[in-house]
Amino acid sequence: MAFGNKVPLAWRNLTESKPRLFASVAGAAFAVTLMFMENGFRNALLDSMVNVIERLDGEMVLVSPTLYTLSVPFSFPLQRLIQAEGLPEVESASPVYVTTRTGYWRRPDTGALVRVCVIGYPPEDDALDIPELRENRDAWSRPNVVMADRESREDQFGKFETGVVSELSGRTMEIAGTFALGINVQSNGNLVMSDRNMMKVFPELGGPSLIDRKVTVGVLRVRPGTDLDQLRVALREALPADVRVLTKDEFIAKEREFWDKVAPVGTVFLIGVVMGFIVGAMICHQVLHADISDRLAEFATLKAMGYSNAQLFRVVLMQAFYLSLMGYAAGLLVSVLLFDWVHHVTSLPMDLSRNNPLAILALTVVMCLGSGALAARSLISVDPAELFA
Amino acid sequence: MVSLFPPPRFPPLAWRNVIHGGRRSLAAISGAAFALTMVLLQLGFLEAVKITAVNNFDLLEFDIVLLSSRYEQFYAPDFLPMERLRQAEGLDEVLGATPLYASFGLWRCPPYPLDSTWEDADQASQPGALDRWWAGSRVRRPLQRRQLFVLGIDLDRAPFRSPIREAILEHKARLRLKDRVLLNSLSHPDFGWDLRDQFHDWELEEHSVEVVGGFPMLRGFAADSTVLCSDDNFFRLCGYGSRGTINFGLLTVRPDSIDQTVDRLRSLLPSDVLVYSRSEILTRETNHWVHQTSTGKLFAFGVLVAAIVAAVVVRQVLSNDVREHLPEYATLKAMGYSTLRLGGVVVTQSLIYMVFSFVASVGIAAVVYRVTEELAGVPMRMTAENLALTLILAAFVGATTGVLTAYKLRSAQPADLF
Repeated sequence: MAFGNKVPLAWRNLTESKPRLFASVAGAAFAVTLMFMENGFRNALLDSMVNVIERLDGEMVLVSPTLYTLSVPFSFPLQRLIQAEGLPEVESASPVYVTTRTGYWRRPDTGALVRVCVIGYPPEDDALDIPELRENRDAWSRPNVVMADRESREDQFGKFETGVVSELSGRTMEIAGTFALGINVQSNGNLVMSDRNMMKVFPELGGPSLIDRKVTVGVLRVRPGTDLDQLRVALREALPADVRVLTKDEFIAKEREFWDKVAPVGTVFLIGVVMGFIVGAMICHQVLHADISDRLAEFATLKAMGYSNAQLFRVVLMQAFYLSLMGYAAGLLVSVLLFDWVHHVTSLPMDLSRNNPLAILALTVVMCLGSGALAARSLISVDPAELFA
Repeated sequence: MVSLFPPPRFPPLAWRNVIHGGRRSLAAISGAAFALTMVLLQLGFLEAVKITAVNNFDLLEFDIVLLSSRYEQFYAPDFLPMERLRQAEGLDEVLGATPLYASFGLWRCPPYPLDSTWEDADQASQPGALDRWWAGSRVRRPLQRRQLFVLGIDLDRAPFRSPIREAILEHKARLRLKDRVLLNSLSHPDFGWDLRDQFHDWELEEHSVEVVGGFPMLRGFAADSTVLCSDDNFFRLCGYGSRGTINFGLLTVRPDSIDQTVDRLRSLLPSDVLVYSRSEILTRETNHWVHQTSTGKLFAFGVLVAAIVAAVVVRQVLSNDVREHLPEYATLKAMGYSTLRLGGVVVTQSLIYMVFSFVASVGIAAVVYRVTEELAGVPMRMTAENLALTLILAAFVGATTGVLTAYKLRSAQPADLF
């Protein structure tokens, strides 16, 4: 910790009184926690809204031009997908049907009807990249069975377990197995079923013939080495204007953008993040300022002893730096525990690593150094003798 | 509090400590004030969820509501048979019964500027709340279609309270015509309320409609806009196959017979309907949005975290302040002040800080509330309850910190304090 051959003054200053060190670190730690939480809430919203899209096993997708969020599913005819499959670059094309408003699961123990998000696709297509769905393909290819998302809200649906028999929108269904996907801010539970079962439960997704089925997302797997931009142009030329061609990444970005920028809930969380940063920064400043001004007399002594302004300045900044690191470490620890708890209670994805931990670290350090520099300014301008007055 | 420790002096010592603290006091107050602002802000978010949960029912005129057994919340009401409403109407206590139809419908949102095309849609990105605020309608935005909530009513028995009642009355004659609607004047800017005079053929589902006027209805977390039309138009626009199903059955009953009628209806009607009195449905909606949705849960967590952080910060600020004043307290003790009296000064001083911080935080929060309302379009209200909660938090932490510090002063010798 020493710099050069001198006394590690900054470190000793900080650690001289344990209770005071504890109070300062706690203050900074809670500021860090506040920033993490506000960020975490916003990302929980955005991440959860794209959880289904991220699992789509393909490089490109076809969607209705009207679709602006998967929570409000719009469809295009299955025929477009068959046409797309005709292109040489397209290896396979699978339809995914989504309904968010018309599926009601009867909770077995209370008999209550609870709205559930239902996703359907041909089991052999593996349109969703979820191991349990792939491995149990045969089980959920049977008639009148569903696969249930274990992470659905248990307080609303009861426990989703293999073998449970209940009713989905008026039809008897058995849970053939479970998988882990995760809920989002718009739906509290997910079911996956085969396209054939889906057509039986939701006849409105069908049409006069097979090619008129109402597909929500068409997942395209392309041959390795295909240029996605060229394929997009080729698909646009081959298909009428009633479908939009997007890469998977664009689809994810569009969905996030909607919830971030258009939906009111995104804006509210953004304001939370901004206020979290402002308040967090204020708290860091407060902590450091108190710590430095408490020691003004000691610094004046050093100055009288012949320390240069630059040396004093460096001591203060080092002290600020150590404090910011300790505060950050403690805040990170508290945040890990809190994130886990929030995930446990809400079932929403709370992933600390996606919350710009480095940006928050940088901000904490910059804030503390800035406050340190502000506090140190009074050291420089003031005459040692006056500091004792 | 000061009067407990005679002889009283004016102004009290604690007050003078704060006032003469100068920048030091200011720093303490601003630190605590920002922490309390965060609490108020999170409480405001949670309050917004509660307000938007009940807001729609608040606007409707009814004593008892009939709902489908699949009813989830106002924006997912499902269907119940019209027959149930007729059965209810047969009761002596029921003075009026009117259906409300509600469904999501697809609205074509006008582009800015008006000549941009579908082609632009793939390139353009959505303007965020801040862009809209800075540039307003100058932000380029392609044509798009978005869902809004469509309400259908019997024009002669419109179940709305003022001011929507007046808006309907004013436009009643025109609403009877085919494909005429009222648009929510508080809609998200995307839906084009500001452009209503520049546009003719608006599009709802697959039909061209005309906007004949507006009505004010708060936006919520579930829908960004609403249109209102007659029941005849509603069936055509939203593709309801028969008139045999409704979404809400609204009943007005004879005064003082509400509970009794609810009981009678519950025993009379089959299990495919839910019967709620006005207060019951308001409670159910609040409960759903606060406890059953992830939105409500996240905001509740926000309140909790902000409260803990505020408590830590307030404690930190106050104990710093006391430490800085230690020599003065030691002097007072040496002068013969009793520990109790000294403790009184410390606690009073803490409370004065808290009052200042609280007032400052209310001021800052009021600004942030307005900004949120402007940018997110959700109602932010500072309720007396939330103000009281924050004040209690501040006072509680302030007082306990004061008492703890005073307790420490007790054992200290004046000489040591220097």
